[in-house]
Amino acid sequence: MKHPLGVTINGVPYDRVVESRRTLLDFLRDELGITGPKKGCDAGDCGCCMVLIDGVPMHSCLILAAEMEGRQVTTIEGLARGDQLHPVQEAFIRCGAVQCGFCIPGIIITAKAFLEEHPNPTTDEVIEAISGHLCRCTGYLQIVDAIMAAAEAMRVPPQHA
Amino acid sequence: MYGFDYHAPQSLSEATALLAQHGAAAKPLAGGTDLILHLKERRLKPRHLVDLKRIPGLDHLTAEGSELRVGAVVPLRALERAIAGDELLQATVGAGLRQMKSPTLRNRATLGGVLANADVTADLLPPLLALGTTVALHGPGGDRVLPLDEFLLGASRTALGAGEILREVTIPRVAGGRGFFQRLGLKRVGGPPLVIVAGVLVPGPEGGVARASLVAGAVGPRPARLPQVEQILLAARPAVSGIEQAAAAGAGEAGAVSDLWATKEYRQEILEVLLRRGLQAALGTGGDR
Amino acid sequence: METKGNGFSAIGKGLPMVDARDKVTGLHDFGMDVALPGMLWGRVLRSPHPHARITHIDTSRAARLPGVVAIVTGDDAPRRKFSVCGQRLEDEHLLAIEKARYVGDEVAAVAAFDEDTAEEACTLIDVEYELLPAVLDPFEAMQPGAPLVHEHLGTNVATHTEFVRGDLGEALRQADAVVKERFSLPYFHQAYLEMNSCAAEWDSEGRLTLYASTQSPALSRGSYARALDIPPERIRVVQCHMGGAFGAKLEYKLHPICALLARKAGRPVKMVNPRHEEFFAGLPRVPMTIDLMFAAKKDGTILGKEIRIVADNGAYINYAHAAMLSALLRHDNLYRYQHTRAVGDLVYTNKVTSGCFRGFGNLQGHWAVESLMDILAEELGMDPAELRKINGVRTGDTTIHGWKILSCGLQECIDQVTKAAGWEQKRYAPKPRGPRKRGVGLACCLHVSGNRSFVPMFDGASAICLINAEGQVRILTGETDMGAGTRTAMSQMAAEALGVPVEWVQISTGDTDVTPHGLGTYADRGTTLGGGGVMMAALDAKRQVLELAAEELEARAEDLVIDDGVISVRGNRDRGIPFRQVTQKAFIRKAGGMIVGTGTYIPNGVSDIDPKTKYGNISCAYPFAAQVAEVEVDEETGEVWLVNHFAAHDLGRTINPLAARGQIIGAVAQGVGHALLEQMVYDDKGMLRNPSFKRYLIPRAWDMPRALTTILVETNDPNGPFGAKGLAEPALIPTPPAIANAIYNAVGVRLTHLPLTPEKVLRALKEKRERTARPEAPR
Repeated sequence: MKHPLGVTINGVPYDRVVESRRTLLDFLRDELGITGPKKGCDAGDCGCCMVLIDGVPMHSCLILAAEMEGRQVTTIEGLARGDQLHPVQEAFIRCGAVQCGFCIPGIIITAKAFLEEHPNPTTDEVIEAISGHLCRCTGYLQIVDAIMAAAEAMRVPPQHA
Repeated sequence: MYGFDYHAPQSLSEATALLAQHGAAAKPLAGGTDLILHLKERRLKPRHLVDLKRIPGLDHLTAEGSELRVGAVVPLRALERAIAGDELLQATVGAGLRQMKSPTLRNRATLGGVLANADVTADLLPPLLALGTTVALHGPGGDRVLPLDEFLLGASRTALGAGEILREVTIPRVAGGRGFFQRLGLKRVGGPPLVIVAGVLVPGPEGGVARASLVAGAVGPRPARLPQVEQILLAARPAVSGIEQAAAAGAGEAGAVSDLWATKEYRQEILEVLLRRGLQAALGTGGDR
Repeated sequence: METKGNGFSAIGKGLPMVDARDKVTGLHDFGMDVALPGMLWGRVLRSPHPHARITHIDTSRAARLPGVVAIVTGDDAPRRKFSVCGQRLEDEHLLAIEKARYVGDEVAAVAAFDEDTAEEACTLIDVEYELLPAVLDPFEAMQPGAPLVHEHLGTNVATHTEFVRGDLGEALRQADAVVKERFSLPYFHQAYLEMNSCAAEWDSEGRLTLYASTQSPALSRGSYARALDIPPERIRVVQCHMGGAFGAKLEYKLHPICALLARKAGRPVKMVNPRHEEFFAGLPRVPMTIDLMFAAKKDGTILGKEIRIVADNGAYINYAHAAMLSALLRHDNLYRYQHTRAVGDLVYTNKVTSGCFRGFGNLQGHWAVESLMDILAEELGMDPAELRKINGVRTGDTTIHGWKILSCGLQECIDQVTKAAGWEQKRYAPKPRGPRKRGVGLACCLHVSGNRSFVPMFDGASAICLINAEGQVRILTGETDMGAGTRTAMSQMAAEALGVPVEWVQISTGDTDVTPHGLGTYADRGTTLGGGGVMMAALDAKRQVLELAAEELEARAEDLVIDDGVISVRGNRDRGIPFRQVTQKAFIRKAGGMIVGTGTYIPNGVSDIDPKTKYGNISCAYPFAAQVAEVEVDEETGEVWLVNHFAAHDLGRTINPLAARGQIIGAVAQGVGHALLEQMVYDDKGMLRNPSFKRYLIPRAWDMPRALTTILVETNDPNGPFGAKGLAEPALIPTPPAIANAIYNAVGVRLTHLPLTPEKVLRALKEKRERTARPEAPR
């Protein structure tokens, strides 16, 4: 069965037709070519496919594209403003939080939403927030450092508008 | 993934009609974090998915007096927030919730979904059972209310009849109750549990307890009340004097089984330790956690 | 983060990875992200039985499914068998022909318009199996009359390895103490997050291009040529960015199966292994059972060592023979043994093929050796750190197997790591009351930088350095970046050699039509050998630049230096000219040609090992490490937490301290997984019971220690480029034994079978209590 689907992705409205069984992740990757969200397990365990749905981080591999009618989806591609990276992205680069990078788009998505809600997090809260993510390269410590550093950067208002 | 048709009804009657029409070939869809995975794994092959999330009246969360009423499609995350100020619910449901799936999956997974999928090892079940949770079902034949204990028939089996939808979950707020949740899993947080135990105790006269409700999970084939433990605690004066005996009794009566992840003996030993620690914490004897 | 005052401009700088910006913005495309115009999607049908004769395959129902374009079975594949590079025991068909040998064995494959259709079609292929008795345990497989995994071999023993140095009998006669123990490890999965993926297309001339996440395009090309029975020159392998590999992605059968499907379909095909198939049919670490013995004198000198290994090969041979050799031999070069004996059997079973995983067999060997070292220390009443220092090899040693130790920071690693950890105080402090006890444990290791023992072609590496008119430097290398930062390290080395800013350098890795054929990134060879090639190529280009600059500056080329992109007579930077002025000149003079530097790095003194005696210096440089784990153990539940960890690593020279720290932390995380959480669990039917991240438990952020101290010890190896040796693999090796030794220090129980689950800890504690309850057991 096919469904008409109107969904906004990274601010761009799409009108498409999708099959019932198409997951949001496969829809993004294979039909729209938005490959920032990664498929690491297709089972909700790794978090590589994390996207924001109406601002809330969710595992796009366990959501049907058809469920997205009328929703706002943000992927990693939608975080930077032109050349200006999001502070979480900047911090990940600076702190050496990136190795192979496969898990990183998902973790950054989760971290962004988390920091907007918790501007002064403890290390434990950061660890809790990313506990739906797997990373096999970094051992997480530099990722946690980066999120703490990003929190600080986000608390300080930017010097130039 | 397996092929199916997705439906997004706008009303409860439309949903029940769809479910009744397709019978066993249809499944209600809430958060989908279990169901969609089961479809991918071909463990379930429904031809129709009926999405409940667009139906008005299934997403309410109301704390009225002595109970918390939770619509079937309320995400676990919202429930977590709703009970933030309630000490007893925090110590029981909240502690269980934090072990469920992951914070990001809890943004999507719903309370109704967890119960309707009857994952009998879910960390949330022992606290809900200990509190005396009930579920309201809506079906072609009208509404009915069941204790959660009667709703859960076993692994992946519930009392839901043809065309029936789990509409609402009611969690009682036990006045003056003290609660605990203890678990040991293959991992420190999240990950499959090997032993879970939750309890709700209401202090009574002479340092005793007037009500005791203890439930073990993941130990046997389904979550189990521990009546012997409850009897020992109800009889002990003060209740703390019965902790050691109660913990020892609990290990024997939970119906522990061996599987690839732990032996029966280990589960029994751990259950005893966790019961002791939980009871000590709830009855205010410090404990060591 | 910088290594200060080392006299370098680019080496020692803690720069972010060269591709970090692409990775945080989602623009970094991995193998899984490749899309070719008009491509189909492929899926594999795998055997559900551990051992079964295939009597009939009927694909007609699948072929009728709308959207299915091509189906291949064993009939479409070459009849010849193949294996991985250098493997003489060719035992595998591309698709199963007469029988299936494990749950996951490839039986057929389908290409369709989309992935869901291909998957659906696989369920419609009817395969008739005649079930055969399966053999799952390597010890049982060695018994006479056991079912044979490969009948024509007449045995399940794939390889038997045995070698002796000195006279173990003599060691036993002189010894004051003899300790022995049995250790084991299960299958551990690499659990890289990017599942194996590739895309294949054929041109009209019958040439194949494979886009794949692979650690070695060159090894892949050769092995896939044999698998497909076509000449290697008809295959081009383009290495895509890898989402982690950790040893698993050298050669993988999905790639040639994808090629087979694409040929039959007449269209490009893309394949991605679903996660559960990664577990069922990946190439996890070789499981081993290790019997180990030490004979030592009272003063701590270890005289002799005997090791016997039974290793589980699984259904087909991959590199497990070489992993077993590592487990038998490598750690003998860590301590100054005089007499050793090693016996190993690699045994076929009806389980998944075992392969390479960070640390190779060396992790397995060290698990036993570093645990038994602590047992010996206790037996002798010595401090475990002291025992290791007494026996440790030193710079200048030629070890018992002929390894030339040109740089060795073992003693310094032990000293620094124990100091940082507060070893004395924590190790010997009285334990508090209550159920939670803390303890510290030490473990050491050595590793290689390149391994000559199993890939026969050559050692060393080559690179090309192109410099265009704008002075932009492009390095072509056949080595690969698994995500560990090889390209970043190479950029720093090239920049250092040329004297230009790191941002001017770009690294292009494996494309077998374009780059030199590197052996790829494994055995910690990327930085040392690959980097050596890059350095040589950059120096060759620099020589050419300086020759041209000499004309401009009217000076002798040998008097010129390049510093931060300015070329000048040494000591006279004010009168220098820009690097770009010279490259522009080269561009005009060569009529558009670039400056082309070529470099080949073949380290001195490295030899292939003697096939019989296994004697020989297999690597150019040997990294060393010492780690201290601090654990907390709950005596009532058996739970173990790593609360603190300290890691000192002799990496020769720190190329990038930020990346080096990242390598160590990431490796320790994998060590935590091995020690406490991970194992592939098979039932008695040969079925893997935990093929998902729900039950194959790699660490999450919660499972890491909050504090992890990393110490980088620089010994400046004469063979390594700028003195650098390998780091990424040895960082994992000491972690599991350090944790086991810490558990012993905390609660006095010795655990020998990984992983150290709470149930095993609790059982050992109970046994200990029962032992100590008996009057005659004073231990």
